[in-house]
Amino acid sequence: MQNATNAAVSCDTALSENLKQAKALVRHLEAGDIDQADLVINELCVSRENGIFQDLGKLTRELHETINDIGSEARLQDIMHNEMPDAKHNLNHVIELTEDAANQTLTAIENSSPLLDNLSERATYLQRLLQGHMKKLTKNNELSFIEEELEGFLDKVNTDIKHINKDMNTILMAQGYQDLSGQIIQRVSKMVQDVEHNLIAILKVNSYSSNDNKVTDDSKNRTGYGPAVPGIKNDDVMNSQDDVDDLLSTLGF
Amino acid sequence: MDKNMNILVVDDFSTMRRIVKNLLTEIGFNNIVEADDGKTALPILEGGGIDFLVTDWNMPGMPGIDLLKAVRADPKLSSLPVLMVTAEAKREQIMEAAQAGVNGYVVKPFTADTLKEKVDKVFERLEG
Repeated sequence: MQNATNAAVSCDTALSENLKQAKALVRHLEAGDIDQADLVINELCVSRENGIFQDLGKLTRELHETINDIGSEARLQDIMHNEMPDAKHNLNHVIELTEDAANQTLTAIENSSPLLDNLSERATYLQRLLQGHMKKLTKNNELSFIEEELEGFLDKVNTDIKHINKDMNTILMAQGYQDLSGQIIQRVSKMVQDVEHNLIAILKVNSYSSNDNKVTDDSKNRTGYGPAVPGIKNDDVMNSQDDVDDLLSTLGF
Repeated sequence: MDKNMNILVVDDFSTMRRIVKNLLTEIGFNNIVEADDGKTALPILEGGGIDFLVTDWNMPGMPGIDLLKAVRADPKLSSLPVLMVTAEAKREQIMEAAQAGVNGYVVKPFTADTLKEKVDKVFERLEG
């Protein structure tokens, strides 16, 4: 509320100042005093430019603060260092799992298909054999029921194999899901990678402008960075024992 | 259509290569070789002896559309029949493939009947 009042007051001041300048401009122009008129116009321009520069400065400061906030956000650090790489790994694992499952299914189909073909061929062969020879043997009516049973069975074998082959074909074609879902997952994985790169870029901007919020690598903190290297600017590295002691004293030592 | 012709199946997903190979075997083709993208396919094609190319579009390295254009640009391969089997289904893409000289275009997911029909059509047109 206070800010709004202040803004209104400063706006009023700027307006009355502008009005004064405008009246002066008209006066100079009416008097034919071009030099004075030019001076007023320049003043007006400068005041306008100052406003723009002030706004730009404010925007820059806000952007800078926002970037700092993003960089120090622990949740974001966690997402970038752990969850993003995990997400890519998980997605790749899904592709591997579906690929394994699809390949196992395809192998089963490839193994079974020739067995079915063979069964079908044998059944057809037996049918022909039955028609050619069994008729002679089964003149004895006591055995004719076997012939009928056999013929019925062989017919059924052939029709059933046709159905099974059709279903096997459906199973085969359904494995195409692995290709399609895999392509989609690859795209999501690529997007995760792009987001990760962009985040790193934002955090790098932040680490150049603010040493307080420098991105630290947890695993590196654990395993160590090795001795400080001269020429490599690192404001996080203490330069002397005094600096170390100073730091420790601020921590209550 | 010569059932003994040599066919090259190109797809980066081994699952899809197996499916296409199984379907072609079912149609009666037995001489099938595979490649996992345009880059590995091109040397096989240049080596000679391939009579029919079945390729995916979206592949790392060299995509199918580039492979198609490379085939058409090579005087030794320019008349090779090419069937595209792909999930890319944008109007402009299909138009691009057509302009590049594709002989057939199957969009994934497809049925066994569709593939058979398109293979037949490719050779009907070539022989007719």
